[in-house]
Parts: sequence; structure tokens; C-alpha cells
Amino acid sequence: MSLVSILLYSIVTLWLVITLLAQHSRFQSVINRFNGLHIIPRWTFFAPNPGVRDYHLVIRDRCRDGRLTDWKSVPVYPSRPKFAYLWNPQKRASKILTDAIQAIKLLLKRDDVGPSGLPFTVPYLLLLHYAAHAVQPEPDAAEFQIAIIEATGHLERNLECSFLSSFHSRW
Amino acid sequence: MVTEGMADIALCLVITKTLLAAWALLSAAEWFVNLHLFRSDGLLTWNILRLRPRLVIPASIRHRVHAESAVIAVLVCRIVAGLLLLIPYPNHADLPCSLLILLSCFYMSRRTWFGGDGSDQMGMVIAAGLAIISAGLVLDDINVTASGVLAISGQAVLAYFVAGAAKVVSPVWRDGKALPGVMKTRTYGHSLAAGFAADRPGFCKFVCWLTIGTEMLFPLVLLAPPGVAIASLCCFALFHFSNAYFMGLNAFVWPFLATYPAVMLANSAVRGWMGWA
Repeated sequence: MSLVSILLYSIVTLWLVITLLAQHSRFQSVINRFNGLHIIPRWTFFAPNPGVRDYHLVIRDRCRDGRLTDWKSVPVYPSRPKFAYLWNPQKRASKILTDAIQAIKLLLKRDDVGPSGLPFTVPYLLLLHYAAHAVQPEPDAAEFQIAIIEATGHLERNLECSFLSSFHSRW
Repeated sequence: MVTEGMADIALCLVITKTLLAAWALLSAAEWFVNLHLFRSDGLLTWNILRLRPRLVIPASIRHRVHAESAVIAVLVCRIVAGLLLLIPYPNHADLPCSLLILLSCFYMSRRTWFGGDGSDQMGMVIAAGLAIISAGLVLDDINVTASGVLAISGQAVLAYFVAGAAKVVSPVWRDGKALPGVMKTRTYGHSLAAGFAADRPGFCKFVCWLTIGTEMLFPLVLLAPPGVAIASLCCFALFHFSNAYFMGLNAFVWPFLATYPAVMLANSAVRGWMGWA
């Protein structure tokens, strides 16, 4: 057996062992520190908690006279195409929204972040920035606020607001 | 014996690289449709993502490396590499093309941060494994190719087993509520399936346990007689096609099916070691 093949066998075996360890929450924080390129995959698809909600982003403005506008839907992704089993580019935007919202939920539970630290985190700023640019402000809007709406059902939609941001300056 | 082994590996390479090419072309094309996400007002704007910690690229070139034009260049490279992989075997471009796709996977996962899924992870695994197999064929070293086969088959076995194990510890999966729950969403669900599952809790529990059981038993494919192993892999392929149809997980089909030739080679090796061949 050549030196190259011994080296490759060792690297591949190590990769598989670390991948197995990375599936357990106990090792994830350590492994994530060295997994910037996502070389170590996570294979826990739709488990233990499958996504049973759709996420939507909504925005409203507070005008200079203190009046609040109606909530407006922030367009993130169109509905799934009919031939999604072949071609489904929409899934990227919906997955980005889902990932960012999941990250916000985790950050809210962290002692070192929580509601007070959340506005300084990247997932929060990402959604805030996107919503502010995706929906035109009212002419006399001074501030805006975003909310995350969770929904389920196809014909009859059950909606629930799971997060409400603070007000932020429009300008 | 070694020549026969190399012929099997060459066949494995041909099937695997064709499926990897299909995934590379599909994923790059779907990202092209989503280029607006990378613009200054997009969901993946670098204006915000540059604020995250542990960025390795030097600050002086960071903005250029992560600009929309750089994303386009990387995706074009992925498409070219995917097309070159379709050149019939023997193809000297296999090694550089699989490495190029691997690098594009690293770049996209760093650049996007959010939005990646299991198909991207398995695409990366296939590209890495294929690069090693191609290197082994270039060097005419069967042990190098075998380590590439180990990488792909090992990750495939882990992927299915872990997916099943993560479900079996979940009460939502064990009591069958996961299926109607997911089907009721517009993101990953299907209105017809949701309607069918709504009044059939027994059926939902059966499907959830079938998924858990088959995923956890996937490692047995390595021990099964070749005919049974091929039949099992056909069933898993059907599972991925049904996920594509009902859940819109179209990109999962190609990289997961691309692992099957390596799994069959691993089956042959394991059965050989056991003296069952």
C-alpha cells in the first residue's frame, strides 16, 4: 500500500468519525468552530423537529404623526412551481428565510444574546435590511417594524405571530 | 483481479460523475435564477453577511471575492466542470472538474451562510470522493480509488442511518404527526398528500415508522446479497423521487443516487472480506 493511499484512508476515516460525532448536539459547538467550509455534513434531515410551519415576513411603518400603517407582506419567494420535482429554484429563498428565523429563535434563547442583544446579530439584520428594501416606505414614514408570521395549512391558513421586532428608523 | 476491480471502479466513476454533473448543472442553474439574492438589497447581501465572525479572506479583497460577479464566476465554473464531466470515460478532465465543483461547494457554503441543504452537502461529498477516485485511476493505484469509494459510501451510510436515528428519538416522528405536519406546509408539503393524511393517523404512523426503519437499516445494504442490495437501493431511489414530487426536494435526487455505485462497490468489498462473495 502506498504512502498516499495510507494517508487518504486515514483522512477519510477521520472525516467519517468526525461526521458521526457531529450529529450529536454535545460535539456540535466544538466541531462548528472548525467547520467554516461545511466539510462536516449534518445528516439529521427534518429531525428531530420537522418544519411544520411556513414562515412569512411582514412589515409596517410608524408615520411621523405616530400613526401605524397596516401590516404588509414582505415578498421573499413565490409559491412552489408545478414541476418542482424537476425545477425548484424558489426553495433557496424560502430556506434562507427559514434558516435566518431558526437562528433568531436560537439566539433569543441564548443567555449572552437574548432580546436585548438580538438587534446586533447578523440573522436579525439580514431580515431587517431585506424587509426595509423590499417594501417601499409610506411617504411620511419615520420608523418601521417587522414581524415573523408562522402559518400552516393549504386552503385554510392558521396564522400566528411568533416574533415582533422593535421599531427602527426608516432613514 | 486488480484489473477487474479497476473495471468496476471505472464503471462506478462513470455513473457517479454523470449524476454529479446533473446535480452541478441543476444547482448552478437554480442559483443563477436566484442571483438577486446576492445584490445589495437581497436576502444574502454582503453588506450584512460581512458582519459575521470568523471570515478568513483578507479584508482588502473581501468585498470583491463575495460580490455578485464573483458568485457568477464560480457558478459558471461549476457549469463548465459539470459539462466536462459528461465527456465519456477515460476523461483526463474528471479530476480537475470534480475538484472545481468541490471548490465551488466550499465557496457557495461560505458565501451564502444560509440556504444550503442536504443536497449541497452530498454534492460536496460526491465531488470529494470522485476527485479521489479519479486520482486513483490516474495513478493506477487501487487503494487510492478505494479510499474515494470509502468516502462516498461511508457518508451515504451515515446520512441514511443518522437521518433515521434522529427521527426515532423524536416523539413527533414516532407518533406519526411529522408526516401530516410537514405536508400541511406550503414550503415542503403537498395539498393532496395533506388532505389524504389528515384523517388517516394510522397510515401516517406507518409511513413515519417505515421511513425510520428503512433509513436506520440502510447499513445492512453493505451485507446483503447483490440482488437484494440493488433492489433496496431502487427502493431508496423511489423514496427520493417521492420526496422530490411531494416536497419539492428535486436537487436531493442526483447526489444521493450518485452514492449508490460506491455503496455497491463497498457491498462487494465487505462481502469479500466476510468470505460471502
